[in-house]
Amino acid sequence: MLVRTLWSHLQGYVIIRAKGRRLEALINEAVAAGARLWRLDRATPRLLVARTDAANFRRIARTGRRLGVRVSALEKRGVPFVLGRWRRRRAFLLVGALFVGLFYGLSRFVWFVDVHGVERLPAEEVVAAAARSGLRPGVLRSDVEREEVVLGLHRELPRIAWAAVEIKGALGTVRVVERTEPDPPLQGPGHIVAAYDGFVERIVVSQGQGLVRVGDTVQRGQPLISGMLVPGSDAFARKVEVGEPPVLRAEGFVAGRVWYRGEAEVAIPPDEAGAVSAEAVAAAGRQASEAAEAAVLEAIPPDGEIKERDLAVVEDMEASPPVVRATLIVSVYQNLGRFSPVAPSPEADGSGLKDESDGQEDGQLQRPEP
Amino acid sequence: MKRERGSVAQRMAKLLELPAEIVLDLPKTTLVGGMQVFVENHGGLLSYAPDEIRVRTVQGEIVISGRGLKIGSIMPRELVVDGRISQVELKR
Repeated sequence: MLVRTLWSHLQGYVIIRAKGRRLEALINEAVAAGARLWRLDRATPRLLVARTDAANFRRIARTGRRLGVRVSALEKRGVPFVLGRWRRRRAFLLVGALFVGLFYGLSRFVWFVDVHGVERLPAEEVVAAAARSGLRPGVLRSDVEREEVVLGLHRELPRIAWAAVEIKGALGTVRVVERTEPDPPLQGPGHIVAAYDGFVERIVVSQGQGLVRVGDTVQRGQPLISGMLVPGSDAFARKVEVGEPPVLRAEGFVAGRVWYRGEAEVAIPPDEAGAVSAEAVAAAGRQASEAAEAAVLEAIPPDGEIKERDLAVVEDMEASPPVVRATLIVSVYQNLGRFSPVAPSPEADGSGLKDESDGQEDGQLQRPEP
Repeated sequence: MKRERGSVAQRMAKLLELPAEIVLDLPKTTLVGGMQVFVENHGGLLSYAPDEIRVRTVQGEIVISGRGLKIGSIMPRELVVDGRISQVELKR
């Protein structure tokens, strides 16, 4: 039954309405001619609704005319009729097909190339290298040899440690991981100068001339280890011969004590009566010391080691409103030195000791008094 | 003549164990429960009403009575009647 239903749908069928007296005769003649009718429904003695194959409809209508029965189609169902309707909408169908075709055609190309993972390398360079290896907007997806592109990227960009190519839809994605390169070796002449005002507690010189001793007080910008060669030495002569400043790269370690000072001021809120309670003073004191400590801790470098701390909290009741001032002084043992390069200039003969990064600590190298 | 030939055909059918309705064009009426009647080798409709459907066959008239009768399908050799069938009668 299901097969028959399907078949009727494939062939197309018509729901007919027959109006007249000789309905039995109409059915008999139609069937005798080979037609199949189904779901006959005789609503009234003079009205019949039935279904028949589309191919038989015209013949039945003709028979009906002969018998005085008016046969009309109520509804046409099935694949051929649906197709017929579509055929009438040919333009629509054509545009649809064109659209699908266009979409399919366009989807076979790579339209975008994306780069992931670049840090120092410009993404455009990766895109350009990928393009030269066959991955660029406008190429057929099937033409992109992923291994080839990866090899090309490695060939052209030695700074890439790893690369992968992925194509998803119209988007080609290049993933790269850059080689982590070591920092350029420290070289070039220069001195080690004080980065902080402080008190030298330790000095180790591995290259250059130590200028300070344990116990010396140094000021920010003051040279600690000089890279200047001693005049008259072989190294000095060789440098002068090639026209370079007689300066080498000072190396060493100077550590000592640096003092940090943090201050904070907190107003004491008076209570309802306008008086200042002891609790309020204590709370403001705590607040002020915390703020002072925070300010100090922020200034201390990560390698610093706090040795001593001295906190002073003073209430100033005369001020209005009354305030609490906290002053924290911390002494920190830390690295004091900082390398300060010397720009190579031919005429410089040792006087070119200059703190470039500071700019203001310009001046002659001053040896501490012995 | 006709009888003679019919009897020969009848004997042939029996001998070869062929179904009589096929060899002899006899109507075969099948009643499925009280809701469906199949009439094979029918000779057309005589009348069609919701309470009575009369079918012509070579052997006479088959009258199907009931309520809400409908012809489920009709083809040159087969007729299916659906509905609440109360009586199937062969009128010779």
